[in-house]
Amino acid sequence: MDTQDIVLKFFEEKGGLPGDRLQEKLACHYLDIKIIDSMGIIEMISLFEDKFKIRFEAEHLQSDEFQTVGGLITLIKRLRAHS
Amino acid sequence: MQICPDVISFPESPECYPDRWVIMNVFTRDCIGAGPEAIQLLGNPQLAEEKQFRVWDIWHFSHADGLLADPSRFRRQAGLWGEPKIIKKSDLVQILIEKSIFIDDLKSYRERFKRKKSILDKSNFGNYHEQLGQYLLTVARCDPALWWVSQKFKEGAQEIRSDNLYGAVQHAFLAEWLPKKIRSGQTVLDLGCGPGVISKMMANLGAKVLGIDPNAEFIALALKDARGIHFQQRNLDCPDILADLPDHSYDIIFMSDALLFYFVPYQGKIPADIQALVRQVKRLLKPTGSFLSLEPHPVFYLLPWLGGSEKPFTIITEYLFSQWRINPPLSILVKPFLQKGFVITELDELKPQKENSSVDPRALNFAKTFPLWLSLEMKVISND
Repeated sequence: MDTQDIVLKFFEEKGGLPGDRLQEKLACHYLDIKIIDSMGIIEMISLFEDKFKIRFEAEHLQSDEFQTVGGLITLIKRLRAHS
Repeated sequence: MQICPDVISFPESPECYPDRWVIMNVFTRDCIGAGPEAIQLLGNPQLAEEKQFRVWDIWHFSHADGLLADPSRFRRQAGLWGEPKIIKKSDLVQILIEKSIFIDDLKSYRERFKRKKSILDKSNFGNYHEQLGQYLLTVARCDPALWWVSQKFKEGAQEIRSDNLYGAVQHAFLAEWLPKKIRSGQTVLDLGCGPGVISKMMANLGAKVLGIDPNAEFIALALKDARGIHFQQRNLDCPDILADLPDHSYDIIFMSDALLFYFVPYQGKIPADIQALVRQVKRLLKPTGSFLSLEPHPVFYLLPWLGGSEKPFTIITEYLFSQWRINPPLSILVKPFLQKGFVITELDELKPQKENSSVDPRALNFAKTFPLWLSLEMKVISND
């Protein structure tokens, strides 16, 4: 599975992202739809850091990019490329 | 664009660096260090474009230095600020916007004073607990509950730290207060006992103590050296969680830094049911019993320490309406008890009893005039 598949699978297991098309799912602001709570966010961060062997810094977590599913995937890919 | 009405400026270290000022938004608690020319810009946004400005990035989340460390959120001692950034007007304006010192419009700015939607929310300012939780979970990456233990207690959580205001004020007060209130053989219920340090102080006075806390990690710490005290993990959010304890069985019911969670949201939860707690306290107390409470002071806890360290002052930004703060105003705190037939038989505002060289002098001087905790003794006089 590639990065996108793993991230999408994570959200599917949390109840699924709205929309039928991939573009809709990638554009989803997952924090706004309450698909995961604060502790769920912490679990997600730890899971992706372990899975992808990356480290999210505070500025990543506070970035606009981190707020959408697509942005998160792009960020993870970039961090993986630099790790 | 306009200057935000919530902004103040003041000198830091004026005796050595009269040209190094702090510009602070007192509600967002964000700030920068700047030369007087930046303050001139606040008063005259039409200043020439080619003018240069000195700024220092002095903001930091100072609560991370310690729960009772200087809560002012800027680096003290202008001599330690280092070299300034020399920037042009457009860059300064951008920084002032980021710091909510300049705002686009007041209505949109006020809208941001809402609870955070998640721990990653950066648009809403949220309350103190949300800001602290956001910092601890996303920047420091540590467990907030264990971090809190390390702020108040020495390693191993068997003793209160003496090098901060917990030791210098709260513990020093308890060491004098508890022996006046508790006699050998009395029964004590410690609600929100944390790792049980104060339970053990009361047990050392000969009391038979039951300590209850919702946090299993705290109870595990308490049980490491239980000294015959009963410690139990129970979810105090549940209204009937104390229902199995017999009526009128306690001489003392004690709560320290715990009652506030019945009034303010914490970790995304709605506050626990204070009415249910009061009913249980009343049912469990003996007719001659006392409810003892030691809580963060309704006015002064976590307010910024401004001015010189020998004579600090503060700015009170809210009281009856709590947006940022972590504890209720005095009338709201006591009303549920008074309505159920309790009377206040003693009230004290804690202050340092003696000098303590291991504590920040500014902290001690602040606490001498702005009490950080409030103690209450209440008794039941009516069954109404």
